[in-house]
Order: sequence, then C-alpha cells, then structure tokens
Amino acid sequence: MYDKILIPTDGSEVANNAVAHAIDLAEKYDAEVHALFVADTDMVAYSLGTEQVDRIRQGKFGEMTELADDAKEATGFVREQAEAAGLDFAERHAGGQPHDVIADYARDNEIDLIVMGSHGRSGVRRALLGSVTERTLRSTHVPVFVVDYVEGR
Amino acid sequence: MTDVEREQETDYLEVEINLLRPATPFMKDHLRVIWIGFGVWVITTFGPITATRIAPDLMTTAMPVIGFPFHYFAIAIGAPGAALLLSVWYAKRRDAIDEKYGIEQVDNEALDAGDSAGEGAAAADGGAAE
Amino acid sequence: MIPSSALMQADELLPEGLEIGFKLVPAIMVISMMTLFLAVGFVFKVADTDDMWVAGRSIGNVENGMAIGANWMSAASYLGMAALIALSGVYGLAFVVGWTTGYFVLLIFLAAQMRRFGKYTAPDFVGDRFNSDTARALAAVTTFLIGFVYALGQARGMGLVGMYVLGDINNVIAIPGLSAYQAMMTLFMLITIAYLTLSGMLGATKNMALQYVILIGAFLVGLLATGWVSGYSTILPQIEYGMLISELGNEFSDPFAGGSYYLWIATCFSLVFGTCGLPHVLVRFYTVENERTARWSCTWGLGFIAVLYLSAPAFAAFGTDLYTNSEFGPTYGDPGMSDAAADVIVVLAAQLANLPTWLVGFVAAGGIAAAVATTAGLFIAASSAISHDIYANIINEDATQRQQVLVGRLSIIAIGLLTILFALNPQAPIAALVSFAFALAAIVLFPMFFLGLWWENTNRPGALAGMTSGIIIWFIPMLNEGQFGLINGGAGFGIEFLETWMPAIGSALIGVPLVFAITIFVSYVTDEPPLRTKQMVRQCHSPDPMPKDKTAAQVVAEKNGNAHADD
Repeated sequence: MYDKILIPTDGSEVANNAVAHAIDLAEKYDAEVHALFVADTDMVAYSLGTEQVDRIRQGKFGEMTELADDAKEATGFVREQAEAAGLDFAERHAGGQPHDVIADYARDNEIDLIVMGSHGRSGVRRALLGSVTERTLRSTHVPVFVVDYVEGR
Repeated sequence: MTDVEREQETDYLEVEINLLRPATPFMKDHLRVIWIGFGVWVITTFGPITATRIAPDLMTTAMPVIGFPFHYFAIAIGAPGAALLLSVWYAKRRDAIDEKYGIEQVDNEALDAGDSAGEGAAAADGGAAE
Repeated sequence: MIPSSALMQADELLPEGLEIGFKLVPAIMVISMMTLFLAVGFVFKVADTDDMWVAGRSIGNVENGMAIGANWMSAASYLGMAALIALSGVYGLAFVVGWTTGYFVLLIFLAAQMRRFGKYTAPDFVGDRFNSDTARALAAVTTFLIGFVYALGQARGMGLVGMYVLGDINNVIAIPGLSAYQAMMTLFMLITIAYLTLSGMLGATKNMALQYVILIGAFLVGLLATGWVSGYSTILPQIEYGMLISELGNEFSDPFAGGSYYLWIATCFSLVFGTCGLPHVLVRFYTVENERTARWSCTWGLGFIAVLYLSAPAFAAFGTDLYTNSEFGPTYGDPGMSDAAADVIVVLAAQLANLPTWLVGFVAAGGIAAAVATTAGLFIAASSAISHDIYANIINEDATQRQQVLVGRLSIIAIGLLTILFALNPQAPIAALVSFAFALAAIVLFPMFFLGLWWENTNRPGALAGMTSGIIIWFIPMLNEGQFGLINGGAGFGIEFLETWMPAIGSALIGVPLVFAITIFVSYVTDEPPLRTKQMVRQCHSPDPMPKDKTAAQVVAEKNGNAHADD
C-alpha cells in the first residue's frame, strides 16, 4: 500500500521522535524513505533578513553554513536509520512555506504516506506559534500519520 | 623571487595583518591603492568646505557658463562626483592587482557547471563545494 | 536655522502652503506603488525553492548596485535633504557629501572583507569576531536602536506628505488628541506594518531594482517638470540650477549662513562613518557573488545614489525660488519657511509650479513609498537583531523556526509602536532625525567593523569597552538637546558647550576617535585574542578566493585541523 513514505523534518526532537515510527512502517511495507528539510523562508526573512532570502533564491544555500548544517543533520538522522534498516533513501533540502513545500513534494514524488511529528500543543501557544503539521494536513490529500511528542517519554 | 612567486608561497593564516605595515607583496600593493584613494578622498570631500573657510572670497566667485558659485559646485557636485570616480578607479586597480597575482574570483555558474547535473532531481546531498 | 537645536511646536506640524486635503489620484498612486512592489515581489517569490542546492539566478553588479541605491531612497534622501539644502544652504550640502562619499570609504575598507567573513547579520560579525555573546547582544541592541531612530525620520516624512495625499483625517473621523499630522503619521505607520506583514505572508521578496527605478523616476520626473514649467531648466536641471543660485538669497549659497564650519565637518564626518556602520548596508555584502562583485556593486551603488543626490539640490533651489515668489512669502527671514514646509519642499515645489495634481501626486507617492519601503526594511533589520541575534543565539539556542518567526513578528510590533509613540512629537526635521541614527552607527558599530577587520589584536574586552562607551557617548548629546523629549520635557540638559562642540547631529566627530582610542587602549592592555581569531581576520584579507560554502571562520578551522576547541 505504501511504496514511498515521506518524513518532513526540521531536526528537532519533535521531528526525530517520529522517525522511528516511520522507519518501522517503511520496513513493514518495504517502502522507499524520503526525508525533506524545509527552511522556512518566513523565518529566514524575519530572523536573518531579506538579503538571506535572496541568497536562497540565488541557490547559494551552501554558503549559509549554519542553516545548511541544520539541514544536513536533520535529514542525516533519517538517513542513518533508513540505511540501517536496508531501505532505499532519498533526501531533499528545500525552502519556502513548510506546509506548501511538503504538500508539493508529496504530490510531485507520488508519496503514499507522510509521517511527521507534532508538538501536540493546544490553546494560546498553538494559536501563536501555529502548527506546520496541522497546515500540512489541510494542504494535502496524502494520508498523514502524526506522532505527538510528549516530553519526558 | 618575483612578487607573484612570493605571494604563492605565502600562507595567509601565518601573516599578520597590519594596516600600517603590509607584510606581503599583495597586501603592499593593495594597501598602497587604499591609502592613495583615501588620501584623495579626504581632499575632495573636506577640501572644498575648508578652502571656503580659508579663502571665502576666492571660493565664492561665480563660475562662467553654468553660474554656480564655485564653492557650491565643488561641494555639491565635485565631492560626490570625485567619490564616484575614485570608486571606479579603485575597483579597476583591484582588478589589475588580481590579474597580476593570478587571482581568479570564484563564480557561481562556473563552479556548478562542472558539478553534478543540475536537473533538480531528488536525492543528492548536493553542495556546490568541490 | 540650525536643525539640531530646533524645538518644534509639534502639535502644529502643518507645512504652510501645502494643499492639504484628500486627493483621489495621488491616493490611488500611493496604493498602486505599494501594491506593485508587493505584486512583483510575489511573482518573484522564493517560496518553493525545490532544491536549495541547485544554483539559481545570480544577482549581478548592476542589480546589486540598484539595490544599494534603493536602500538609500528613504524619506531622508527624497524629502529631508532638499529641506535642509533649502533652509540651511551650504550646511545642507554636508548631507549630500556625507551620504554619498561614505560609500567610497565603505568600499575600500569594508566591503570585500565583509564578504569573506560571510555571516548573516552585523551582530553575527561582532559576536563571532570578538567571541562574545555580550558583544553580540550590544550590537543587536544598537541595531534595534538604529532602526528605531532612523524610522522616526521616515515616520515624520510619511505624516507630512501623507497630509497632502489624504488630507486631515480629523475631517472624516474626529480623533481627539491627534493633530492632522499625528493622525496621518500613525495611519501610514500602520500601513507600513500591514505592508510588511502582507509581504511576509505572500513570501514576497523585495525587488529592489524595481523600487529604485520607480522612486528615482518619480523624483526625476518631478524635478524635470518643475524646472521646465517654471522656466528654470530644460534637460539637465542638475547643472542648470547653478544660474538660479544668485537669485535665491544669501542664505542659500553663503558658505556658513546655515551652520558653522565645525558643524559642517562634524555632520559630514558623522554621516560618512555612519554609512560604514549601518547594519543593513553591510549585510548586503555578505551575499554577493565574490569580492570583485562586492567592489563593483558598491561602485554601481554609489553611481545610482549619486543620481538622486545630484538632483536634490536642484529641487531645493527651485522650491526656494517658487516659495519666495508665492503668496506664502520669502523662504528666508522672519518667519520664513517652517521646518515642516521645508520637509515637504519637493512636493511643495511641484505644487507651486502649478503642475497637474496627478503629477504632484506622483512625486508625493514616491516620497511616501520611499518612507514606507525604508521603514519596512529597517523594521526587518531590527526584528532580525532581536529574533536571530538575541533570541535564537543567546536566549534559546534550540529555538524552532516558528518560534523565531513569532519573536520576529513581536519585535516588529514593538518597534512599530515605539516609533509611532515618539514620532508624535518629532523634535527635529527628517534629515536630522535620520542623522542621529547615523551617528549611533558611526560611534558604536563602525569602530567594531573597522578595527575588527583591520587590527587582529582587537579583543573582547576592547570591543565591549568600546561599544558600551560608544552607546553612552551617543546618548549624551541626544539627551543634552532634549531629543526623545525625555529630559526636562524636551529641553534637555542644555549645556551650551556641549551643544556647540558635540552636537547630536554630528557627534561622531568626537565619538568615533574616542571609541577607537578606548577600544585600542583596552585591547592593548589586556590579553591578545586567540590565534584562531587572528587567523580569521587574516583570512578576510587573503587574496585566495574563498570556497563558496565556507565562512572565514570555517576555513580557519579546517586549516587548523579542527584541533583547537579553545576559546
């Protein structure tokens, strides 16, 4: 049923927490594992300035060393586990609005299942910070498997 | 040893950067251009107003044809114009120095042309590095 | 009329002569300009860069240069400079000279070296070069402060010109306690924040080249039309205004009628070195292709800036003459033209020349758009200082992207509110307000950039001492002259000796050497920085081309085999 499984990740504990679930599923279905890191261009614009957004547009992501390192680390974590389980692996580093990019990637690469982590926040914090996971849910028709991150587990 | 050869032997991490005492041939050439430029800049920027302070009658005479009081022209048009010309001069001199020492500026396209096929396909840890 | 000591009767900020009232066509023009910027930015947005490792379109020297030029098209250049040239004569030219020639100093000492250092923000540079979170925080706070003070000048411009376009809001909805100017300023500041938010939501990138073309277009069209219609000039007003000068009255051309020699030098000095210390100017050089591009972009930038700066005095000359010959009386003398009218002289001149309303509106729209775009840029710079440098780098190192966005947005709201609050009663004309920001940049940040890049023994204690004393030094004349309305209800300490020799508008003449001295002295008497730091500096000057994906620090680390974990 699931030939290609996509794991969007930002390298955080929340994201990494979902990887084990994803790999397990992938093993059972012998699926291809795709890891996707999205640099939130909102964040780049507000936090680093719009010249940095230009930099991404020029394809000079490689020069943004800290961000590039974050990206490599995030997808690298998935790669390790996928390769240890003997699964086919692909990775991508993209920029844009995360939920849009994830949905587009899923559509363009014929992904069958998306597995991602979520803070499981509620209330004011959720309202202020928003949930990429939730927006992704609404942006795609591909089934989404959500793994809540509960601290201390 | 020629300057160029001496340059090629230099490891810049070992060289002390000193604004007043350039340690390598490249720095010497570079700093010479910088100091000359800066010197001229000081004169063209602060010179006109100072000259006007010192010799107001001379400086405020009207210019033929365009009618500017000379000091006004020197300040409003002369100073910015000079800065622009100096910039062009500096950029060209630096290009010349680059050529002398065989420094080739790294170019995004050139680098990627020799790299992986840019089809934007999936995978690949990418990276424009060598 | 010396701007820095002018205390405004702020609740009557009403430029006499300016036709205040709602004008449909100009209003549409303002909206169209802002919408155009957003639309083009949206079309070229970077959202969905499928693979960030793939080379994209490079930005060339000319485009970079236009971006630098657009950066400089603020209310200060568009409106404020002509104001001071008209009222203060040759003293006003200190602004023309200071704001252009500074780029040459930037070019020869800082541009290429910054490119090699390769980080994201100015506080990044300070924090990494001096191995200090405190230094980073100080730089970030200074960046925020610079953005705020600079924005004050823009806000004033928005309020004044806004009155021409939209009239007196009190005629539509009487807002108690807010004068026409105050209401208009607040409205446009809110529009700016909305513009920024919308821009962020759409993922629109700033298309600086477009901005430059439109703004310079509006300015030049206004100038040419005003000159032509009034018979002053034909095709090159920038030269032709020379013949008009002798008719304008001594105040316009007498060397020291508007400000002493010392004041001229101090102001020019402040503006030159402020240019070299402004965070949002320097970060542009992080992202250029290579050092050669850095140099040529800077040069082109200077050229594009010069187009505006050679034109402003012409506008001032025309405006002065038109005003003197109008019913509002002579520009000079008592009462003469007020600061408020001077600040809008570019629009006023077009109006007094009896140009059609749509044309005057075009010029006005340009001024407002310049102010809004600049303010948006400043707010982003300030927000990044808080979000990236203070929050993500110091307070919460594990901050997620969403958290950084939230902090960034909150910072923008904060700086927006602060600006609105303090711009209700601006204590000085536009150009003066902006100059205070330049003085701050010159005193606190420029020494750090210059010494950081050119003297490898500048160390952490030196930098901290320098920045701290710099901030204090900047505040002294500001408070002395009652800026921000904080001391004595706006009268300030009023120490005359200080007002003469360390005017807030040109405090860098004293401040910069002082901070240099302090930084150098403290660095001398304390321990040298670690070898790794010194090597980082050397790497910034090395002629070897930098590898694309490495900062100076990383190149050093690699060459040392990553052996040292010191610091």
